[in-house]
Amino acid sequence: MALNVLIVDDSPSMRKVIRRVLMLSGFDVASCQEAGDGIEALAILATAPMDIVLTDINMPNMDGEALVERLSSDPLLRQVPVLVISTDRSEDRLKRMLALGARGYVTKPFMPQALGAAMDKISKEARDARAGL
Amino acid sequence: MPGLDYEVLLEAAVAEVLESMCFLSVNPDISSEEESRTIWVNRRVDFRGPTQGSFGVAVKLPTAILIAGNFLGQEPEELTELQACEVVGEIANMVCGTLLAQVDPQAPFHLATPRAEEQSIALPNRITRSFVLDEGALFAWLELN
Repeated sequence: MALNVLIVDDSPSMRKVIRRVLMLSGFDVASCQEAGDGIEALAILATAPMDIVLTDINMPNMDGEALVERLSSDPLLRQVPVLVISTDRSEDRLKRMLALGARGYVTKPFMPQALGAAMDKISKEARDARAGL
Repeated sequence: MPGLDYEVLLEAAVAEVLESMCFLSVNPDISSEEESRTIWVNRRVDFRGPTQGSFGVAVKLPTAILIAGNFLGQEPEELTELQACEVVGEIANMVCGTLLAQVDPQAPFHLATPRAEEQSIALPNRITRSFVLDEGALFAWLELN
C-alpha cells in the first residue's frame, strides 16, 4: 500500500535529503509533500490526507512540538503517525515529544539506515491505520 | 561549562556530521589559515539553553558546492550557489546540535535558523578549528556568551 508522506523542515536541503532517503530505501511512496514549518504543514493536512508526517522541531512560525501537539488534539489527525527528525538529542525533549504523541524519534545527523528502520516501524502503523486495524 | 575541551568536542561533532550525512572523511588541520581574499561561505547558528552562544562553519565556495553535492546526492554542476550556501547552513545546524549534545546531554537547546555570518572567522573570543577534506578546508568556530 503506497503511503502519502509529509516532510516538515525549515531546511529545503534537509527535506530533499529525507525525500531521497525514502526513495532509495524502497518505501512505497504514493506522494511526498513538503512544508517549511508547522503552519504550512497544517495547511497541507487540511486539504490532503497524509499517512505519515516527518517533522523537525526547531522551525520558525510553528515548531515541531506545537505541531505534534496540534495533531494529537485533532480527532482525525491524531491517527496519523508522526516521526520526529531533529538535532535535539536531549532525553527531556525525546520523552516530551513521545508523550505528546510522536511515534518515533530520529536524531540528526542520521545514517540512511537509521531513518529507514524508523520508517519501517512507523509505516506499518500507518498501513494498519489505513486498513482500520 | 568549565572542564570541557571544546576543541575536541568540535572535532568529534564535525566528523560525525560530515561522515554520516556527506560521506566525507575529515581530519583536523592545524596549519590552515583564513585567506582574506577568498570568497567564503560562512554560516552561523545562534543557540540558547544552559549555555548561550553561536556556532559557525566556513568553507570556500567551491568546497561548499562539492559538499552540497555529496549531501544532496547530486552532481556539483547541477547546484546553485544558493543551494550550496543553504547546505552549509544545515551542516552548521547539525554540527551545532551534535556539539551541544556533548556539552550537556540532558539539556534541551534551542537553535535559531542558520544565517550568513558577516564577520571574520577567527575572532579573539572564538574557539576555532580547521579541518582538511579532500574537497578543501573547513573551519568551525564556537563563540560562548
